[in-house]
Amino acid sequence: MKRYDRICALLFLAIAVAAMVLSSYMPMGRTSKPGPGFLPFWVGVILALLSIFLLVESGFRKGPAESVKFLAGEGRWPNVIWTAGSLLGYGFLIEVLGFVISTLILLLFLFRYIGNQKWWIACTGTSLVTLAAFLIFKVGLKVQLPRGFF
Amino acid sequence: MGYLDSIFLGFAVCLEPTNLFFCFMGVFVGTLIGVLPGVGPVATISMLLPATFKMTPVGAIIMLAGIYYGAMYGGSTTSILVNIPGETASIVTCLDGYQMARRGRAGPALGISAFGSFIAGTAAVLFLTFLAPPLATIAIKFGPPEYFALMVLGLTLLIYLAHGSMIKALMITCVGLLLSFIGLDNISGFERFTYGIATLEDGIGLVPVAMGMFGVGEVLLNIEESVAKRDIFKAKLSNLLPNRQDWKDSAMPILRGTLLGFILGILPGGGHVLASFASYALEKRVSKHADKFGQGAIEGVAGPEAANNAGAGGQFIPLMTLGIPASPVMALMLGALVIFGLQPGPLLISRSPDLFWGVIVSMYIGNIMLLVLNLPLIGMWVRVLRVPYPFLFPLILLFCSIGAYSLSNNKFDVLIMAAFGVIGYLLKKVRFEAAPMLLGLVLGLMMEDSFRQSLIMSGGSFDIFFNRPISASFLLGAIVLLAIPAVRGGKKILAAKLTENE
Repeated sequence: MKRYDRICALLFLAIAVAAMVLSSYMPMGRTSKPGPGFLPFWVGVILALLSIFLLVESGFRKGPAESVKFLAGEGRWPNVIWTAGSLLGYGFLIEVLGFVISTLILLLFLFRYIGNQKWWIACTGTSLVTLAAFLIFKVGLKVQLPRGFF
Repeated sequence: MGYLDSIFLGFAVCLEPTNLFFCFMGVFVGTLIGVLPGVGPVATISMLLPATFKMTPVGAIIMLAGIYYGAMYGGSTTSILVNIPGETASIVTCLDGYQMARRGRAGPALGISAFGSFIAGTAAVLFLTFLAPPLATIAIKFGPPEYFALMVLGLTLLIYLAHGSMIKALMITCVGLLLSFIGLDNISGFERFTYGIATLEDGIGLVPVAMGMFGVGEVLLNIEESVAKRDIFKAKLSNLLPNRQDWKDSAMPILRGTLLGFILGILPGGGHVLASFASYALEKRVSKHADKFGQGAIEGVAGPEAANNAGAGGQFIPLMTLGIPASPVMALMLGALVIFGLQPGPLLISRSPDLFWGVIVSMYIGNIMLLVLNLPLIGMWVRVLRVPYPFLFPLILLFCSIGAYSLSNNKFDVLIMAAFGVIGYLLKKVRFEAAPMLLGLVLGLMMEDSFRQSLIMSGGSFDIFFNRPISASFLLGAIVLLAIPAVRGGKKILAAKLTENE
């Protein structure tokens, strides 16, 4: 935990410094009429101070090292990356391929490869859920869903 | 308008068939997601928000509110039967509820939690009915300094109550504030942190962020941890009604839980999660047989269950009277109200009485519906519990994506949601909480506006925050909250150093 706290502290420090630098390019205004850069700058300063505090404090901390496991769990960790990636892909593809096709691909992938279902279950699930989602959102709630290239 | 007229108006609004239907849909969906672990009210309300755009504002808020308090009911069912809390608010219920179930008393445990929830939920609505209008008349007198101070106090309270490190909670709040500054500046129209990306001009939306952190992030965590085999309790659920002794044991805890929960619910940053924990601690302290807690004491179920429902009701007060959301769920409600062109705040009750009273009355009716849904139909929910996670998570992800996309028919929101899903996953790993960040994101611009207006009012002097009694006392409260742990932590470090030197 200690090591991760230090890494986090450094990352947050970087965010804080970035916020300070970037907002210093904006009009700061005076205290009688603060400009758009005023609060972002000072929130950045506060965040920087807090990050430095965490950095220093985690150095002094004693006690049993608590381990954080990223992507743990007996070979399941690639699934986390795949799942997050598939959502990003869905976001990029939904306007190109349209709602129906991209949803079919997303669900089939999730059911079959992440959820480890048998092929026939994955296929049935995919088609039923896509149909249901289409009926609920497009027909029932009249939400506009992208049609894609057709 | 007297209370009686108002309540009649509320009934007239709420008993319209469409609104009754929305109320039922709300509590039904709420119970469903309460029972399903891994889907919480925040993710659900975000998912369904776009679907409400075509409804009337009253219907939409009635349904969203129903989801929220319905989830409080449903969450306890999983805690008792499977020892998996459906919601964070029902973590405490696991302690004694599951033990009761293991001792063959699953029925009374479910029964008392449903009745306790019903009593507390109804009482909270009554308090809300009588407290909200007078509070709104006080709130009208609030100027920018008071608003700023109150929001500071709210954020501080949330930080103070954060599990784990307060420094981390403070840091993540700052990040939330910084995120809120992205987009057009409200006062000068200046573009901040947008870099020519047109979608960023409106800022980063609360809904995709909430869905990402609470919906997608949770799914990612669950996928990684083995999809645990749930040991579902297979006892017969025949005697759901608590017996006379049970009632005698639970009456006072329910009463105390209701009051405690409501008070904690009103406080910005408090809320139902804290309420259930506080009530458990209180019951354990006042109990004559504290050693029975953790081994199936019915008081340990009745008190917290009442408290979390009362807390859920109490949270509507800061939203409806001040326009300040006290929790992520209320932030989403605020978003919904704004989408419908209603500005929550002190004038909401007088400007849209049909909305305010309609929603209040819908909560009375919703509570009755929930009692019917949760007691006679408990078997159905137990069956829902058996839906395996590999079937569930693709649905959660799909509905989140559709919800994000349909917010403004923009794929950018889906991408933001996915990105914040990963961020939420990582933050949880390194023990940063998501709620303070989300609230920082919501309150950031509001805080900035009132901060800048205050300084313009005072001509640049910061005294304005301390000259006015109300804002001064809010800020003083915030300072005290921040100082307590610092002093405590300092003492601890000092003590550690001293022992080291000896």
